[in-house]
Amino acid sequence: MNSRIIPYLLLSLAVLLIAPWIGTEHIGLDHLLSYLGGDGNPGGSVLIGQRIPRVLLGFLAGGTLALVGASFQVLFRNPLVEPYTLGVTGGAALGAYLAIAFPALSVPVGPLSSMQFMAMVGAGATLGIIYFFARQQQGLSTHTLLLAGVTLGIVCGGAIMLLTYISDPHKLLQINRWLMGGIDVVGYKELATILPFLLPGLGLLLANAPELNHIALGEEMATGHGVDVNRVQTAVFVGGGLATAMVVSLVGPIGFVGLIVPHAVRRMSGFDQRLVLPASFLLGGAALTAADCVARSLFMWLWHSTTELPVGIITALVGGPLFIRLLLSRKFMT
Amino acid sequence: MSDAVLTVENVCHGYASGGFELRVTRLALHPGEIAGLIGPNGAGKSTLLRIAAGVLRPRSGQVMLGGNLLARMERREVAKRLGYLPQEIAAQFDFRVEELVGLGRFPHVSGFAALSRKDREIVDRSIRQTELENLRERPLSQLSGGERKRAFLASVLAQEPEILLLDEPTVALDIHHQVRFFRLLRELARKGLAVAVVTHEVNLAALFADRIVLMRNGTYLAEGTPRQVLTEDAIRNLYGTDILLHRHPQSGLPIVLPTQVEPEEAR
Repeated sequence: MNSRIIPYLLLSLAVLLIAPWIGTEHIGLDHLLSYLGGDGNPGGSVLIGQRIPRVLLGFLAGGTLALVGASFQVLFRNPLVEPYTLGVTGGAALGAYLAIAFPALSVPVGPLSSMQFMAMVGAGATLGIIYFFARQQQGLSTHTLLLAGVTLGIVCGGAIMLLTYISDPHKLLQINRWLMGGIDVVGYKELATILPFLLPGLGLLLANAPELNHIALGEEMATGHGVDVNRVQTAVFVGGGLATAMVVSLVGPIGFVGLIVPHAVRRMSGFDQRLVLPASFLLGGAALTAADCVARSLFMWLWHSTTELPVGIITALVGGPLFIRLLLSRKFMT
Repeated sequence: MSDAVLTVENVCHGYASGGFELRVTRLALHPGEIAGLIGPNGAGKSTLLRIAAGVLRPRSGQVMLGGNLLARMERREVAKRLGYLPQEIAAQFDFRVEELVGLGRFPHVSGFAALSRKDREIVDRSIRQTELENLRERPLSQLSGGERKRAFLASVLAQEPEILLLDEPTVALDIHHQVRFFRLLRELARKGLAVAVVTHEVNLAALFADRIVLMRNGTYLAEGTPRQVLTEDAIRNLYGTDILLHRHPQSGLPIVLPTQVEPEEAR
């Protein structure tokens, strides 16, 4: 495994080094150096205060979605599952919407806006509810988990439609924008706020990578090989759910990264989850960071406009066709 | 006879859908011995084996593994001593044979560590024992049903268990490989393993098992050596009247054959 992760590491490193220099304003090394020299150069300030946190959040978000997707596809033994399949986005969107629609709920918490905080609450509540439904005497039913998640997502969608129908039209713009997903944070505070929850979530997933190899052989075979299936399922669900909730609350729904990247990694590197999970994180991070570079510079390249596209549009428009190609090009999953 | 390494005591189990209830007072497995569990479909053989493996928790009763209550043991500790091959295995990913067999080392290695030299030797041995040397680089999807079954058995053998519980291991195998398979079990038993096989291959069980357990409707019908247990009456009782009991020409052990089809019936 060790050496086969290196290409992914190099790619990620390259993307992380290049991405901060791309954007609507030209910023060069000289700007950075004079800013660090203490002259308050505005270009350097944009780079340090906006571009770098944005790149970091993009990388973490993309990496998280891909890692959770890879883990969930094994947990649910289903190649079509992605982090959002569990209805987390629906719950988060409903929470964000409530924060917009009812000013009484608009209480910013720490560095998080009320929208971000309520999205986090919504996502967490969704996960709690489906976990409650799926708990059974002999452990966790992944079937129930999946069905309850999808159903709850639909219920949240209905609730959002109802709120949309009865609420103030100009608030619709805000929720619409949220639903497109985006990584437009300013500064490091939001990032720092979710890290204490995000990192343990990611850690739980990575720590269970060896066990997931066995889960892929079925619960009985995994148990026979010495895996405590119930413990692994619970850990992966909790870890993946927590990580997704954190990411969704900041960047909204960003589709396809969590679905496609794991497929691409398995296709390139085989099926050992000890490689697939970290590689998915790296490739997902690199992919979303690159997509965000395009999202924030496309209009400038085309029309010299400083307008930014929501990155969710790029990932869906580029990711969708890519996924179909992957699907057609060979036997699915294997 | 040496002490039992695995005992199932007073288990009762039924499924929520009802209709079937398992009631077994005692199943004991001994080192060096092959036990064959035989009976018609729905007799409860697989359920009993799953309970013995700790994969299924019975409604009541207990499983003792070497003096410990299996339900209380760490799964990894169980897997060091007990290997279980389920009846149906649907692998989600297309692992290569060697990779799959390596997974059997899980109870012995830290999850992230590469396999040590000793681990790889055990993997090689398991691959040799199941005669998969030429297929070790092949992905599972390019194996026949029988080869795949052997690959999964190899991964179980790589656990180095003292007890083997196998649920219809020879289903997709041709007669040559069925015989090879049971010879391998004989070989493993000679080395001290305790083996339990659920099978519909009554004849192979009669030839290779030390002890036969006949089951029907969730209970034991009889237990003993093949000669004691496989009587005309017992077989008729178990499988109906279209079955004929005969003797193996070499060993004299009981074998079963279908009765002749009447000529007019055939036409």
